[in-house]
Amino acid sequence: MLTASRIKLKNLRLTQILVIITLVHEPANTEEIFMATAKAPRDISVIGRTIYQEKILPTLSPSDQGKVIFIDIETGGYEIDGDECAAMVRFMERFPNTVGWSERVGYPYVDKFGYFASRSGE
Amino acid sequence: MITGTVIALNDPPLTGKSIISIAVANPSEQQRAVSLEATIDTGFTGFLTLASDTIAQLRLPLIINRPAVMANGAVGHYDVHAGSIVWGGQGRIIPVYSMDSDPLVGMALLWNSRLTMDVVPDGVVTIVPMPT
Repeated sequence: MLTASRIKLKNLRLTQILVIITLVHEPANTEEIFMATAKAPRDISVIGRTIYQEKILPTLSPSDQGKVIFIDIETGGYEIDGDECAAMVRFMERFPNTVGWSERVGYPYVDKFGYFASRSGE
Repeated sequence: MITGTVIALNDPPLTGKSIISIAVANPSEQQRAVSLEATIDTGFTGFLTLASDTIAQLRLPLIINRPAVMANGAVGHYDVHAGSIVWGGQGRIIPVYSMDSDPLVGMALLWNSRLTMDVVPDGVVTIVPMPT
């Protein structure tokens, strides 16, 4: 079966193969496009981190420590709140149909899975 | 009050997990909902995790990607979707991590409540909101 597939592919012209690849990967609707965005988290994290560290962090105050921030990586707009759910809902309303980046101010992560004790024991 | 059960495990033996039943829905399509059993994980600081196939079934919108740390200290980047849940008698929209494990209920969802459990096979688990 594999050999047969190879022979068939071998007989196809490059343009025909590209058409097949395009058809196979073309999302059927915007929802699939939306879900597919999850497959490129590295780009989101690189852009999101840069916006956070260079544009947003210098403007925050000590009282923002520990708050969760939701950043739109297209516009640099963001929502921040001590109540994470409230920040997320506002972010969803302001930036519908986009996938953003999130940080907890002052921490290298937002949540812990399994309790990892830092050296300070906190 | 939310009630659940302590389930004894065979692998590994002489231990178990505490589970509760929750209903999660799409925030903009409440009829698109599913009831499932979630494990209470007090080592998880977030609200909820769901498997990617459950998230796809509910079509929970993808909101952000974010860093989170595992028990070994490794920081990874995870997708977070928005889900709707009834908790303590009130509807809430909460962040839901896409994680291909058993669904986990974390400390952020349990915050401001009293959790009790009889840690024996078929032990009773209760979660009661506390006055804030």
